[in-house]
Amino acid sequence: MVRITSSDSQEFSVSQDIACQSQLIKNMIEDVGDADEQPIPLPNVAGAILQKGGSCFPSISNAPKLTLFAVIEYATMHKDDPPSAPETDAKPSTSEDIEDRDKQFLNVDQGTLFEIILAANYLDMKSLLDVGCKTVANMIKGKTVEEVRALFNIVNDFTPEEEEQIRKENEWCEDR
Amino acid sequence: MDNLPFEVLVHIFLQLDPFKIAKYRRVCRSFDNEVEVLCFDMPASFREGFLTNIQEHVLDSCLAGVFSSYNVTTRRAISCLAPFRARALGNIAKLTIVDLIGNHLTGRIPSELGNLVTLKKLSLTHMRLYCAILDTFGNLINLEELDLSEAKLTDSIPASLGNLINLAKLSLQHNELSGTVPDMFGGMTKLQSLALDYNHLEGPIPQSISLCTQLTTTVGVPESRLAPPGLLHVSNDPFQQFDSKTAQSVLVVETTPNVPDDFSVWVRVFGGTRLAFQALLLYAKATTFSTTLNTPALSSFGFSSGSKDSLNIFNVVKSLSTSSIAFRVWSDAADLSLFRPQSQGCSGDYVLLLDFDS
Repeated sequence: MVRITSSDSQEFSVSQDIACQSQLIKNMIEDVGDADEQPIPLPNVAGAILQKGGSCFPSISNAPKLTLFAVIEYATMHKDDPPSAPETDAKPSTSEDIEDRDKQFLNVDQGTLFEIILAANYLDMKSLLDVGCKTVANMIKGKTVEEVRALFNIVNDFTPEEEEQIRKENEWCEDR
Repeated sequence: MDNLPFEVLVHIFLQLDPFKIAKYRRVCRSFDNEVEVLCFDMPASFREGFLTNIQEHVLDSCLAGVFSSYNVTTRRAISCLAPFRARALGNIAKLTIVDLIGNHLTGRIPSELGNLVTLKKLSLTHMRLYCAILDTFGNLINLEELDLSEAKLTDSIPASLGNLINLAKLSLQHNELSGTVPDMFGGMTKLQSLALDYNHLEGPIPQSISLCTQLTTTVGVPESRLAPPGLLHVSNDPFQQFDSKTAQSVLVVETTPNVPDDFSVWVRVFGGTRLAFQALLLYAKATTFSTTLNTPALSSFGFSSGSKDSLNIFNVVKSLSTSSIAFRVWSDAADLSLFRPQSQGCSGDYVLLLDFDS
């Protein structure tokens, strides 16, 4: 078992094969040696603050902390996955091919989704990062610029002139 | 979402149809930046499929004139144009830099590149082009830097490069170039750096190189057999004297393996009225090497008859474990010789003697 501590000092005990889906933790264990000695601190990842789907994170900007709970859930779900094939052989995957269980797993509010992506990024969990980013990409797909802004609560920080300039440069692709 | 870290945003955009990425530049600033990165920077690690897509995308961008409005000098411009399918490339009116580094991509040089007369820097390196240098590169008269190194370029160097009168840096090393070096240096008065090594070039360096008065860094031609007639080769004995009776003399000195990290060469000139040697080439035979040439404008000094001027021509700073260093001196001098410094009263490590009277 590997003990990991979240930023809010909650300790989790997970089996090594689950923990090591995080390349970060894997490297730490390899560096430190015996993982039983000391819990591994993850200062960037908040702990079991909430069950997945909770509403603590209405938007990413208000929630700089990351959640570990959901990530462990994901890792547990995928612990028996075969190691991913080297990318060079694999046909480039598209954002469409998301496993159903992952779809379900990531069927959460936006804030949580971004939390999970951030945690996956920090923990270096490629498959989770991948599937998270695909999910976001799917949300963006087909939307207009305005719709994307509305969807993610993004403030348009261009001046009207700047935006017009980009619109002009983008004429070739705006309506596609 | 707009404050997700850079690498996450890129990851998300990578999932999108590259063709559609540009559309979202307008969402907010951070998107604009990310999309720029995707559009303009192409890490070699990107997957083939994505690469193909983005090229289509870039091609469309070119057709739409998108790039013409960018200040691409500050960006690693269109490195994604690599397989050269961009027929529209030649229409990018204001482009000043084309930098296609890496990816070991194959393909031909698009002839349209020759139309980009506004280019100041053209860099096609680390490619597998297997074609000749375009004759039309001679049209790019604003070029200040032409880097075609390690691109598997074949055939001879087009003489049209002689039109590139603004060229400061010409890098053709590590190619399959053959034939003789054309007489192209006459107009290249701003040339500061020339690299021709690791090619199959032969014959002498044209005399016109002497007009490149600003030439300070010349990576020599250890494997190119660029030796003019009268090549003097001093192997492992820098203190041996050699003579050459040809009009264009070259002295190559390979030093002993134990060259100190910092040494200087003194040049002593005996007699003569003509301008002294005009180009000075230096290369390292082994691995990594950096030089600082502390050189006065070489062509700017003349010598009055019978005078015995001596001049500290360059200092060489050797780095790492270079096992030998070679000097080449192009000169009108009939004789070039090298002496031990002690015997000539100079403090340099080596002394080069130029005797114009013999």
